[in-house]
Amino acid sequence: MELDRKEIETETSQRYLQFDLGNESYAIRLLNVKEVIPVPETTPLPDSPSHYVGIMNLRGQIISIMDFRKKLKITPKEDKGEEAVIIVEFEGVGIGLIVDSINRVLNVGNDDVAEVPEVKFQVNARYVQGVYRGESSLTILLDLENALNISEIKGFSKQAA
Amino acid sequence: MEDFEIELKRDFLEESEDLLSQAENAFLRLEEERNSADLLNEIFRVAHNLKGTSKAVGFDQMAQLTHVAENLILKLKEGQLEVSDPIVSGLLTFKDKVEEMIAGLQEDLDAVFDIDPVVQRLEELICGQAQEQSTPEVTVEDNEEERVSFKADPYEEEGEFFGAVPDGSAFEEEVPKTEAAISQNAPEQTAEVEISAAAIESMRELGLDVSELEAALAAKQAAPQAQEQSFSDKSDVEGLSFHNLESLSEARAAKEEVKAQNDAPKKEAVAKAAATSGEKDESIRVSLSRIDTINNIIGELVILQTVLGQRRYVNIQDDLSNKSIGMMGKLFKEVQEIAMSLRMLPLKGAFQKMNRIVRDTSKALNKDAKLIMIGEDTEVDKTVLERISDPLVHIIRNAVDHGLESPEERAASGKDPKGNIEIMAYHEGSNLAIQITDDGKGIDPEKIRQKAVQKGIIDERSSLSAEEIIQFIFHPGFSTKEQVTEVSGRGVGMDVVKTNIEALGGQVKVMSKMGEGSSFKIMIPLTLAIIEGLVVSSNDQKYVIPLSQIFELTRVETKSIERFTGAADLFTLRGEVIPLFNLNQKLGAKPVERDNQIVIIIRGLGKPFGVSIDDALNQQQIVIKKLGEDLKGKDGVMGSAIMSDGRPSLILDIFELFRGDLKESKAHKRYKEQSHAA
Repeated sequence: MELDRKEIETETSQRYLQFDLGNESYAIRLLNVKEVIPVPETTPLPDSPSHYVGIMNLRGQIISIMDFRKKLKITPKEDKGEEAVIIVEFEGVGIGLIVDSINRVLNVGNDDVAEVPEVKFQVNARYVQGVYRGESSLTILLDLENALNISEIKGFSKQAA
Repeated sequence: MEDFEIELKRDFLEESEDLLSQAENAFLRLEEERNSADLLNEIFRVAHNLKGTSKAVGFDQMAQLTHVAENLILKLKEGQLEVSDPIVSGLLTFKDKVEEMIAGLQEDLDAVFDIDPVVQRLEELICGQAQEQSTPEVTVEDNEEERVSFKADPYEEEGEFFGAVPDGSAFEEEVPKTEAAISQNAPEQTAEVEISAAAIESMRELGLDVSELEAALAAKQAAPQAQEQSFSDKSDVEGLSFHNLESLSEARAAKEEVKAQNDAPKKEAVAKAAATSGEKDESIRVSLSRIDTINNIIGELVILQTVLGQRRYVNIQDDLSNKSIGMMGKLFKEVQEIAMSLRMLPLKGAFQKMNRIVRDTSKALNKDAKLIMIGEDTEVDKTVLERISDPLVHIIRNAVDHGLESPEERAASGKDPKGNIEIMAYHEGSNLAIQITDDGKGIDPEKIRQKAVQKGIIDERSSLSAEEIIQFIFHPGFSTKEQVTEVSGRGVGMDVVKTNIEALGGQVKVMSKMGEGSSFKIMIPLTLAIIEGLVVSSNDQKYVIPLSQIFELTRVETKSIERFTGAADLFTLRGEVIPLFNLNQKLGAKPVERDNQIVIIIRGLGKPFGVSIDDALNQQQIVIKKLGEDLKGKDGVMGSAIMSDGRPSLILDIFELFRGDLKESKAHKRYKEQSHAA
């Protein structure tokens, strides 16, 4: 599923891809999303952290796949039927993230975002950019850079070996 | 800076690299053919192009520098100055400076350089013998330049000047037309261009605005002006218009061929040149990343076809479908071969650079040397081509410096005072072989031996053959301070050559005969993108081990393996005690207990070691894929390969993987010595 990115983001609103991890809704900036694919076959990597699923062949390119739920320590849904992989690109690093389900693209206006409330989320507060108030529910907007901890990923190779 | 401006500048830099290598070759040929008007015309054209375009895209310093050089060349062209050694050297210095500037500008478009010494040197050369005429000339040229920069419309200006640069965009249409015209009425063309060139000169002297005429001339320049005197320029036209390394060298080859017939009647020769051009392939510039992308996609197509192929006649019953799938397989294979060959380039470019090395080195050492190139059309992967150049330069410098004797010594020993250095390339299996041979004094094994003993590399009593001994010149720490000369001993020795070549997965060897010369033979794989690998399984996963790391595959009875706590397992192979490691264990899984172990013997680091694996599956050619940025530098992993089922497997670097385990062993120590001393 190629996502349409042609619609230009304006200053007052930004587009997010909403997905589920466990029973909660999360969203990441659509700008970082390259594509969404079904969960592929992967080759595990020796000596890798538990959230690291393995490497996959994405049309000839080798991409690392991570279990986003394990990474954020969220209990996954029992039903695996809707699992999907979001391929994100960040600072030249392409990574696939396994999520429980892909929901939709949100158009988030600046006014719709609330500050991070002073409560303990399941997710490390550092990962949270804000909270989007939808019509009926709340969605946590993730700060992908912090959530993925790009610098840690880059260093992972060393630490794992 | 506007985007289009940046793009123009980048385009220019890319093009000027080609122009420069063309210029360098012309400069070098100038030494041999001092009075060749064609050559001077060619050089003038290149300089003029460089000047005009660099000015147009706003590289003022480069325009200033090339402007001075152009003046010098004009003097030569008009016979007001004689070609001399200092002039050729001056031109080469100029070329080096421009090269340096291009490299600098590629990093930073606003880079500023110190061009004064070179400008001064060139001006000295101009004034040296023709001071009187040079002054007015310079002012005229300046006027012209002003006119250029005063033009109102920047787009128009750039457009025109890009027309002057032999770039594909503007020339694709121009060239065929002119070619047709040339073959039909070459004499008229020639006359016309000669007149316009002369006319422009005189008009300019009269103070008329000639910029338009000039632009027209410039646009035609690449083709018709080259026809002025002879067809030898004609092939240069191709070089310019096709504007690609490959075709440049083709053009050069054609030129040589044509040159051989210099005495033949002109008409016939023109016809011949035109005929040659008709057969020529046109080329375009394509970025390597696009070729890699297409290779990736074709690889995927081949895998999909294999999947379909396996279902033929089993799941698919339709005859036409089955036939089509079979056909598809054949076509894909062909396409894959073509796509792979896109990365291959002839060695010519790298070889031609060596001409300059030989010239400069022998000049600096007061020696006389000639470079003979054989097999420069041999093709090799672009990445290999880029990385082979440095080691070649070292070996060639070394050959001139340490190999060749001085002309007097040579004459005394009955040799031609002019030394010969031959560089020859050919394919040997799936390897590229490059052999560099000099007819100098050869390497004295006794001297090497003494030095090796003195350095403690070998024992006094060791009995090594002369051939084994001379290989020590590649030993780190062997290029001593005493050996350092201005030319070849800039702190980097033959050990660096060896390291570089080994980094390419290759080998280098030296052969020598006292009094008759030495020969270096380099063997490198044709491509870095494909390796021959052994597919092994460990813990139900497939891994690839490069065949180059494996010495042999053997079976070891489990009960013959001796286990020592705190140390590696040991086993005996033909009387040799070898440490044994287990791949599963290394990769974090349990070793499989069984009676027989399949063991890979690795001997790369001196002392051998064994690695037991679950199974050896098959040997195959493996296309190396880079791992993602996040996994780069993972120890013990070289890259990954996509297997026939479409899933990726890791390519293991066994040396690196087990380096830690060999820590206290002698093999490791030796490895460390080797890698750190370098």
